[in-house]
Amino acid sequence: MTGPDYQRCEQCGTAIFPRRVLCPVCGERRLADATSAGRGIVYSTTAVHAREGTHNVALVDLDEGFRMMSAVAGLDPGAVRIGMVVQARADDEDRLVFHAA
Amino acid sequence: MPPDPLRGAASVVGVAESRLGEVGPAVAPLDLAAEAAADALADAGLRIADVDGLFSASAYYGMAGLNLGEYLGVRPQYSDSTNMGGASFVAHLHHAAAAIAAGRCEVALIAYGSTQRSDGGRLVSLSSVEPSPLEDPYRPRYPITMYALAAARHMHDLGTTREQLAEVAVAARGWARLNPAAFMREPLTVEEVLASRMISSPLTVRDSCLVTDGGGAVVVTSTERARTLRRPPVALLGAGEAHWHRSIARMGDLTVTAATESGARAYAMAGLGPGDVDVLQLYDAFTITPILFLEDLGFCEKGEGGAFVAGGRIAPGGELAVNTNGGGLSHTHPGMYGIFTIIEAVRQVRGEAGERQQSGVHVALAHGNGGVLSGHATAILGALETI
Ligand SMILES: [Zn+2]
Repeated sequence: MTGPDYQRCEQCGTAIFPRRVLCPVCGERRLADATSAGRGIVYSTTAVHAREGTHNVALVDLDEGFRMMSAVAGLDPGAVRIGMVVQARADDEDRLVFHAA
Repeated sequence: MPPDPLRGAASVVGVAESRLGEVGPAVAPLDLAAEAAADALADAGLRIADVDGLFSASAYYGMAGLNLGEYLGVRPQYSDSTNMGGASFVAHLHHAAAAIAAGRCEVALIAYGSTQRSDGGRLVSLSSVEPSPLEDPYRPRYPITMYALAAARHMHDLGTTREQLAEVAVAARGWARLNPAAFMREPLTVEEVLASRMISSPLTVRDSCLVTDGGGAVVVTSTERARTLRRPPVALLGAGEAHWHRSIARMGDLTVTAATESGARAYAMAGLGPGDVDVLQLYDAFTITPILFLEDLGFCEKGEGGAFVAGGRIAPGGELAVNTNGGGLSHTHPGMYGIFTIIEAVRQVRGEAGERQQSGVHVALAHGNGGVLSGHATAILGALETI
């Protein structure tokens, strides 16, 4: 289990990220804590050209049903593709990033 | 359905832009808002003392209306500092019309100013003081990275190309060349846009709005009173707002914006559709945004926006006049551009847009966008005979 924490609505089953006190779909306040397995699909991706170099920023749809901003590492930042299957892993800055699965 | 009672109830009677471009370090954002306010009131033949409704939003002043009221000496009985980013002022136009129709104020002033270029040449946004622990570790460049993610998904799902994005920038430049107040007026080609510096792929510096100083103001009153004033009234026929998210990760489908709802509400109020609109002013923060809004406001089908803008079709002489002032891409972009969409729409309806004036403009649409494709407000404005 290497993915991010999220919540699951006990009323309608919606996966909720980030943490909140009620379900944004149905208003239910009983939300169960859960941890994602960290497997997902790249929803969109961009290579950010900064002074210190180029890095990737991506939106990843986790298999559990929520989306997060992250980065795909281990590839040229511009070679990351929408639809790519990826797996979460902590990097040396202790950030949760994704690698091609 | 009976006609919406707000349809045509209020009219724009004065508009002005302040000094634009780069005003230098001695000028404050409020100076530009006040400059535009004074000129817009003069345009209307009204005085500051006539203002009893005050509407403002700012990336500098968290309580924008309070700062502006103090500066101008306005003590409003109705005040609204709603902040929806760059969509704020089109929303204010809607709110002002409702307040006037309800008798809560009579003369509404909407005003904005920013000196982000003279302050250091970076886009000033509330988000620079609003930390985002979920996003900041990944170092997105706010806001371009978020728009780049939308553009990338639009290209993937719908086949939009970088050349089509570039056409939006080239069309804007074509219009700016007809606007003496525009910041960038040198010729621009698709090839130059494609070859310009990449910032967040697929968006280059030429796919991005300018960073300028500038202010704008709009004066609104009842259409009844507007008929007695010095300029031809431009009536608010329809207005609508919508927002579905704040951060890009919560947007859902990145190829469909809440402009679909704000636009539908504005059309319903006006009793009009896209085919009735003679000229459009769409917030062009990045080249992807006019493509999204042409689709979402019903000027073409979803996925056809790229082809719609290709071949100079929204440039001067094209089939549909879009962003006739040169837009945020080439005219001015002090950070919250939305007020300039209203100003240019009013000028086109009045027939006073100089070399860029379109013939026979009866109805104009202004669309404001705020945050990261987050806040949306649409206004449909028309000459008196359209009421
Ligand atoms: Zn629920």
